[in-house]
Amino acid sequence: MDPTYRRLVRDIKDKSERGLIAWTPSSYADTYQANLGKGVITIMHDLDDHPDCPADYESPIAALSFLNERGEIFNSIRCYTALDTDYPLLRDIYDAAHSNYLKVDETLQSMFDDLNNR
Amino acid sequence: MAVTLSDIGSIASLLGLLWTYIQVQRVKKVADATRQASEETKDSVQRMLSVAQVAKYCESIHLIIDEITANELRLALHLMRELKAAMIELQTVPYLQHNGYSETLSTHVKNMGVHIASLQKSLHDSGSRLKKDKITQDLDELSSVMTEIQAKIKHSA
Repeated sequence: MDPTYRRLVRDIKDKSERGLIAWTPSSYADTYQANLGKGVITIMHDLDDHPDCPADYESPIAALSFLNERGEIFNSIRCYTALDTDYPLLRDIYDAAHSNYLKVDETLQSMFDDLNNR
Repeated sequence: MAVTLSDIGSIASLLGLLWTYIQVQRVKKVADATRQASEETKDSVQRMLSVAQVAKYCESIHLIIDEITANELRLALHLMRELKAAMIELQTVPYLQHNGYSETLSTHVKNMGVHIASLQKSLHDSGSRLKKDKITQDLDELSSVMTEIQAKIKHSA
């Protein structure tokens, strides 16, 4: 991965894990999107088999895409196996996006608080 | 002369072909109208926007919603590309910039970019993983914006 993008991706991961990026579900399964600067980023993570896909169609299991203000994809970082170098980074971004959207941490904390108050 | 099953099959095939031809012509007409409206927006000397142009965009939006609902994803993809190009052009119209529509249109353009990527991926899986509701919801919102713009143009005329 290009060093500039590596820095950007690490920053996205860090901010996502801190809940500072507003991820929302996108228009494709297992994908979230967020506005960032003048553009948009999308993160996809998919480990399931899809019998509807043709046998010769190879889709990535994780992908982070960057779109400009005209909605054009200008770069994508894709991983086709869990052994790809960038896979852990992309997986972590997806997990953070998923968790943020579902407000997992906030909900768990409220449950703990409720139990502590009983 | 007795009509055989084979004859019925042939007639059904011909009717099917005729129906497909009519549908394609209908979509082509709307795509051409969207492109023409966009060209008019670009070419307009005074960079004004007409109610008729906005009406064409609304028609295009509704057709895309219909095609997505009917799982005609290739057609929907083609129309959405045209519509996105039109919205990019629309962002440059001074009237809309002065009336605070730049950011709204910008958001819709970016969302359409994401939906176009989703539609492209869906061509490989017959649309089984496409979140159609998300796309139609965004398009409904854009349609509301267009309707609002149309009303403002009418009242300012």
